[in-house]
Amino acid sequence: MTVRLDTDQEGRAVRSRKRAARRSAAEIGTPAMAVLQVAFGVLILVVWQLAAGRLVDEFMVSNPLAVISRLWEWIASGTIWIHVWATVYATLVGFAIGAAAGVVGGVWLGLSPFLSRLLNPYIWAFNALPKVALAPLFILWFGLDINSKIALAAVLVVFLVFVSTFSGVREVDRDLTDSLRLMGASRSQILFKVVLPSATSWIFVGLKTSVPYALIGTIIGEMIAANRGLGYLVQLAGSEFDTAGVFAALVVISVLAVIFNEIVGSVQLRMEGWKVVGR
Amino acid sequence: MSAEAMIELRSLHKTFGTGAEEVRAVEGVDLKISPREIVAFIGPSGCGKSTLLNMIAGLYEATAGEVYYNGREVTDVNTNVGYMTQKDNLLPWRNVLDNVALPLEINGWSRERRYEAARAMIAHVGLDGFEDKYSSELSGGMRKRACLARMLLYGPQALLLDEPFAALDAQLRIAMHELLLRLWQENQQTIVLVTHDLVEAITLADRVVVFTKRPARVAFEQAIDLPRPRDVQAVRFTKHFQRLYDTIWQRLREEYVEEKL
Amino acid sequence: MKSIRFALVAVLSAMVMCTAAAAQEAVKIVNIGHGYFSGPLYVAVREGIFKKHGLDAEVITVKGGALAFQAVFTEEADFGILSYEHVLTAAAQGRNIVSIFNIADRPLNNVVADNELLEANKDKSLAERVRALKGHRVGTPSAGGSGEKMLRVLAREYGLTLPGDVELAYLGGDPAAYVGAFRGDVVDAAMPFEPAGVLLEQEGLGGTLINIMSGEVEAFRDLIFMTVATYPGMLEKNPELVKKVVAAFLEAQTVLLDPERGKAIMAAEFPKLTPEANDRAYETVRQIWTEDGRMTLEGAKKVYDYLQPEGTATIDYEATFTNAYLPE
Repeated sequence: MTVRLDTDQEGRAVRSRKRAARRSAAEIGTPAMAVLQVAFGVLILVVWQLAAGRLVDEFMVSNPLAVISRLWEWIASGTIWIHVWATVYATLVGFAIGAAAGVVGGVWLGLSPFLSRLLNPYIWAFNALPKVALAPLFILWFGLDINSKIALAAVLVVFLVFVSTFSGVREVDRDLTDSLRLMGASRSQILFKVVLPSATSWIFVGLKTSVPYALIGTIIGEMIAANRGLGYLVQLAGSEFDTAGVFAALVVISVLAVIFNEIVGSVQLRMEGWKVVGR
Repeated sequence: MSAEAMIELRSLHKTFGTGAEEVRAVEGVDLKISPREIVAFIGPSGCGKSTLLNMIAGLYEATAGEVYYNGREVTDVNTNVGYMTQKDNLLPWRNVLDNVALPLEINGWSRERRYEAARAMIAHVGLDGFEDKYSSELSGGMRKRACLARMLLYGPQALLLDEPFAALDAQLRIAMHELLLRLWQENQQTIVLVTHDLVEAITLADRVVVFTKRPARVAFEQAIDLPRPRDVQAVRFTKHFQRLYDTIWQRLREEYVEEKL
Repeated sequence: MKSIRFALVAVLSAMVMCTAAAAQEAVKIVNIGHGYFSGPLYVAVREGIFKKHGLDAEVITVKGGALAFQAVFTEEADFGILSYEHVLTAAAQGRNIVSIFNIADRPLNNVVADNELLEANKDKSLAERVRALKGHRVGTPSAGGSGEKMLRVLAREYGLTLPGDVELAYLGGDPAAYVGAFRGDVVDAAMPFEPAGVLLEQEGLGGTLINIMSGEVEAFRDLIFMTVATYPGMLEKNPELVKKVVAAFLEAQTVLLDPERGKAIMAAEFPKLTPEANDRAYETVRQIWTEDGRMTLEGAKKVYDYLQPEGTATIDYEATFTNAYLPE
């Protein structure tokens, strides 16, 4: 009996130590975490560099140094900026158009039970379409210029934003709208003072999710018909077996994606300050 | 009390849904409420008391019969009443000041004027100092005060209160009762209070109306002739109170017992 | 006085430059991918030949011949580098565009094979080399595409049954896919667009088994193959522009064919190719670049023969190409 108690105690001690370790791992402070994140990134790069040429054919994956040197080449010669600007412009405009259309559509249909029931099957059918398959069609409709890229970005964004906005509007607390009605609020007052602020966090979810898609739409458009843009660079580098170039372009694209995401996030934070304040 | 009714319910019926899903909430309610009267509605849960309030507020349309408010039939949303529910309907993204000032904002008051009025009302309900807090930063009692302040700010003649203090603890509830009666003394509104708590009903009201279980009909009315002003803390322990309580409870119990069967 | 004269000269030259700039006619040209075969286009851009002919050319790269065709047919682009195969296929469906300059008169494909096949058939005849494909896996760009059709012609001529004797794989248009396929031993032979063969050789994965581009196969010489095309409306409304574009291409083609200049310009256009690879690519593709851009009815019919495009419309060959804009 005594022996069993002892081993149980040991087991418990081990388990509780493990639990403590797990808890403290999750609760590491932000600066320490940032250091770890950088270290992790460096580790990946080192592994990549070592594996390239030895474990994996360099033709397939290039290596970090080559990628960095290609990037540097582009930056130093100034050639990258025209492409970055083309992509950024199309992404921003496409995002703006898609977001506006998504919010307006989501609010409109969210407020109208009849319309939302009527259009429901069509919306879901269209949503299921792989919209990038529309790319050649968009080139046909909008031309070879930047408008087709903007349109592609917008169409990918509009559905995501629409769906979130629609849900957000439907989730609005009936009691809140009722209390405003009792105060004599008009429909537009209810829309702007209750529905929209209430739906805001949902709308932001949609906006944040759709940012990378705006970029994707633009890039795809640039890959199939363009003479500038990061997608064009990817395609050009690919056709010349410049794997380092492909990765370099991808790096720039990822950086852009992170920047856009941060911007939307900080806008969200400013608009939703009231949420953070808590007891 | 004037003979003319502030709120009148005439042969009121309300049915929700159709066919197999039909729910008869209210069946043949006749009631007259005088100006400045405090009336408590009490009855088993789900019996339709809240539905009645919603009909007075004009949020629901009567299936048959009419609701009269201040002599005129209620056909649309009744913006002359104040409404307070168990849930506080403060907008969580606005601070206390903006929430309280909301009715004036809707009616087009300038920022200066409405903030001035709001601040006064906030102080009146004892929330001064908390104007820039958000509802997530306030305790339950403070939120109720904010709701009261908002409701009173546009000076409605009648207040509809649907179990407003049910979520508060006993002490807080008493504080709210005191506040409510104080405000009523000042403004003399007509108040319709829906409650589960018979003590609350008798403490506050001039008349207690007991409803049957669903569909709601008036089962019994009891005038509460306790003298005013009432000491909210002490009045429940008087013999008069006790007698009233027993009388009403007898009738009330019948409704509950039936329900159990 | 001197300063007034100087000012006058400055103003006048500015005016001349402005009018010269205004005299630059804007023209939109689509290119299919960044193909090596579009040599004259790159030369014209890099050597200022378009400018010289009063043209402000904007080049847009599109992915795939179908998209290029669409751009020209819908008049979204003014001119396009287009395979004559597309012109014929569209004509068979009643959609007409017109080739105005022939860049290449032979296909862009060679039959390439891995080292094993190459070794085994080093000095064999054309017929034997075709038959050597029997029992092997062969990659072509697309199902039913021109590469596959050319393969059929070869098979028919030299005694191979297709598919039957050969297992086909579809690897797309990008040369990189072929390098990958050979590397991964997915196929033993292929019929890619050049410079895939050059690259395969560079990587030591294989080489050219049948040199179509050198004119080895009769059915694939003197064709109308890779052309500059435009839509019929352009010929009607702005023949002068068409003349200028053709003149520019002709001049560029001449420069391109000069090994001293052409090689260097192509090296600049394809900086990622090693100098050796560029040399090889240039020499290979130079075989198919035309001297004068002319097209013949015979060449048109030869393409029809192997392509056999689907469609109900009878093709009026004369409407699908014209030498009228080439200088006499």
